Amino acid sequence: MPRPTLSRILRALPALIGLTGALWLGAKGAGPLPPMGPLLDPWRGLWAVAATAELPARADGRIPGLGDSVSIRYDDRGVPHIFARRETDAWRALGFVVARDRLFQLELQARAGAGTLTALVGKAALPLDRETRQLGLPRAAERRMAAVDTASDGWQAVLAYSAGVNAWIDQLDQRHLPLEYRLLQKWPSRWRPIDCLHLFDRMGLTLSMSQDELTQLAASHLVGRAAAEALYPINAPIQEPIQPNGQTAPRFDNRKIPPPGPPDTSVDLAGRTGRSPIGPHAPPAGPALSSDDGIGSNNWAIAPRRTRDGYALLAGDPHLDLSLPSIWYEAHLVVPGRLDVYGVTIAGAPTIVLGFNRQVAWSFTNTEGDVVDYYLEQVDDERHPTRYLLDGSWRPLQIRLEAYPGVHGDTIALDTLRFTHRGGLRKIDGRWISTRWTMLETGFDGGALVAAARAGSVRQWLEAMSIWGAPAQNMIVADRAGSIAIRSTGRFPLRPGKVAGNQLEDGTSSASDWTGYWPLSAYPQAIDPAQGYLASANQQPIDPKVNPAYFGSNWASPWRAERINQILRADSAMTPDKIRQMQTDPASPRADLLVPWFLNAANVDPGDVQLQRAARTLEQWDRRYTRDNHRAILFEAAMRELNAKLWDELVPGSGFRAPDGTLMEPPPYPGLMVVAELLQDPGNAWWDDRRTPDKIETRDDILAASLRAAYVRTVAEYGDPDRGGWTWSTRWTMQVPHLLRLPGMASPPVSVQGGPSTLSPSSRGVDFGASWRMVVELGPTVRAWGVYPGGQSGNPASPRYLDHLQKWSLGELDTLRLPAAADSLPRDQTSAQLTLTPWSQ
Amino acid sequence: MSSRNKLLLRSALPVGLLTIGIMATTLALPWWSVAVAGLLYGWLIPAARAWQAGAAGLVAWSVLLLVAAVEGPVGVLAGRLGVLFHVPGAVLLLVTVLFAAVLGWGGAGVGKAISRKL
Repeated sequence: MPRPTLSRILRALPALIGLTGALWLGAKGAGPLPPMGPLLDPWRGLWAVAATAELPARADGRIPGLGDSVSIRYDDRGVPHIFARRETDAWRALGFVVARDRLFQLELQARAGAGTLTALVGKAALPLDRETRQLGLPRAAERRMAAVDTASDGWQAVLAYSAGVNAWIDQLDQRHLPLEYRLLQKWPSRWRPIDCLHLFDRMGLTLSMSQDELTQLAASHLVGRAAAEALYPINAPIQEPIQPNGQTAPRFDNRKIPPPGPPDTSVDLAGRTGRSPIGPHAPPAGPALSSDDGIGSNNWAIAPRRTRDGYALLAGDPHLDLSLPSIWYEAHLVVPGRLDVYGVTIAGAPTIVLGFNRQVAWSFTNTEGDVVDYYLEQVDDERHPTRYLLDGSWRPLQIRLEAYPGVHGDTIALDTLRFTHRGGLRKIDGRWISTRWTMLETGFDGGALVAAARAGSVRQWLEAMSIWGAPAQNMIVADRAGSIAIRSTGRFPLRPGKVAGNQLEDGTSSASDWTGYWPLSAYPQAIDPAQGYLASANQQPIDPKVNPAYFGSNWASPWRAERINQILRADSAMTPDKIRQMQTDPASPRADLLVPWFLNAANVDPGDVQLQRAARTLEQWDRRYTRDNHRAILFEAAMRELNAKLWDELVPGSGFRAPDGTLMEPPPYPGLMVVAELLQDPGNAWWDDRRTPDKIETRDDILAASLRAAYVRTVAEYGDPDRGGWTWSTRWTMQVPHLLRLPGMASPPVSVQGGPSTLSPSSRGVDFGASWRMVVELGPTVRAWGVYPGGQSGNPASPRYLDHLQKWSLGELDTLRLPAAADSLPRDQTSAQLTLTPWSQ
Repeated sequence: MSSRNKLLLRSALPVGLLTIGIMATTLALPWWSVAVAGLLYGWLIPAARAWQAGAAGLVAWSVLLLVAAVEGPVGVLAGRLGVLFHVPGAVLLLVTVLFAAVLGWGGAGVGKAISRKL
């Protein structure tokens, strides 16, 4: 053997350096780059995500515990139609197909409810996990799990679904691993039945956590208690309730709004609680949106006598934070003689949540009732309390140590959590406050939805859903016999007489505690009303003149409800297509109310050229938020100016601090119903802009100044009104983000019809919109249409990732396929087949 | 067959076999198997050139990428990942095949040096 010479060594050196560098980069990564070897591997790395993006035309799977084989047909929209002989098999199959399409979403959402996101995505999720655990959500899920009726249908569904999810995970290979796991260098965790509870708890946090007490207190601290109570009223000043009250138009219960008063220092509690105890869900800091601007969920049902073809019609479009993949997953479950239900489920829910069967259709909007109360507690030790005072005696706190795992299994943080008999106890601005919340006491009952899916009539459906606890929902339902009904369903607290519900309560007395829950008969509800239709849009459910009991406060303005009812009252020959058009209706009762006031106010200064131009421009608006509209943008700018000028007293000065010196958050702007009240009172002190001490402004001064400023600003930003820059579609777009907000995985921007307080408000920049639109006609043969802004697949490379988005943005609906049997789905409508067979280990 | 063609075939054959070998090992083993294949090539083939193993790695992974592209929308994925990693999607594809080339080339270069040392 020749001895290596120096030149030979030098010749090999570049190769050695290259090899070492490549191996290092491949195994360890560099800087922000993760280990690149597993990612770049063309067979089982990132590129495999593309190779496995489409479902194979035919596939087989095996699930332990399956009673019989299950046949699944994916239609041309990617929707699985599951044909099983037993319900438990159908639920297993549902778990399997959801995991197949949405595995990462399943785990992410369950972890969000369990407070264990840090183990998956790292430290960035620690605040979210802390919030979840401090509220007591995982603890509540564990308690419910321990008390579950293991023989119930709901629990059987949970178990079967979990087995289906795990069957997919167990047979998962590297090539089918979702993209997000690759980027995070993680492998999916097995699904536990309790994860179904965690998922719904997280939904409950989104839908039913409220802070009316804190809004009141922060406002009291700025403008006094009387003004605060008027600005965030218990009852909506415009009544268009869900439970029909015999009116044929909204009722304006105008009040005199008290002027802003001095800070109410007697309400010292404001100083303790102005800062949100639940962090990210706090009212936005600084100049906030009015509470009406972006929210929106709608549903309505029409009795056969008010439809063209004589069949009951039902529509639903719940609005939520949008994401890719979508929160919803479409599926159809068929068990002959037992179940035939189509609709949308949430990844992690063992059955259909919103949908229809061959007899009944249903949909939800959020009730927005007050199901959360806050209590100021007295503890034995300000720093490390172990007991709290109740009715003069010390009671032990329940202590729970919480460890937050990191991505490598290490512990990245520890918390000591304390609980009173009411719920989680947290120290906020130097005071100890506990929270009681229906979600922690009732939570998700899968049995209700499982039974509802089998219902043959409206009454059976209502009976099945009567056990629903939280989050409270306005549940609308219609059946083929022509019956329609609506009921705000969930647990609503019964409070003792002196407890207001929207005020911070004294925790040292059990007299502050809830005394039970409303009886079912007292829930806001209506069945087959004389008017022939029912609707809800998050408005106050029941007219306080019908039932004055406290149900919540600071309700959303009823603009959407008003518009729905306006259309339904006027048309007694409704059709599915008219309903479809309603779901993106561009008209706005809010604009109808406010535009005349702006125009009238422009008369205060006929010599102001800019103001007159602004008024002429606004007058040209048809008050519709159509894509090609060139004027809506001016009105929205004027509304922003109006909010800023009208509510200047609610923008805190430098002295707005808690006793411990912490800068407090201001309350959100009051709703537009309060603005509507003030419009009737031109000299009310609220119209005066305190920032101009040499002048006392009236209503018209402020409206004119707002319109003028909006015009000047809009021209400066977008140019002359008629040169194209004001087109609504270019200024009002939606971009649906990825669940992890990963750049590149979001949808392209799409323009949408609608604007603030229209039926489809699709908030710009907030990613909030119609998460699912559905129309069902309950004729001799049930027909249905639907769409959501995304696609069935969670794989960003898949053609099914956002294939429904375009139709959604255009306000169109897909015809939903409803095969009665596996072989009745036409071949040209079948995109893939999957056969599941039992597997005994 | 001319002697020139024979010579070409004689030198191309090992490279072709190596390309197939890298494809096979990539299917069966993790990404580092490319370096192992290159190392064995440089070690066992006396006339081996390191660049030949690099070329084989590049071609092998290119073919596998093509297979993936036939199976699914690699271009769409490259576009999305490109936004994620702040580079054009095509760069990611290029990086992928160059990564295999460096592994193969480096492995073969080291293998050849070891072979001479022994």
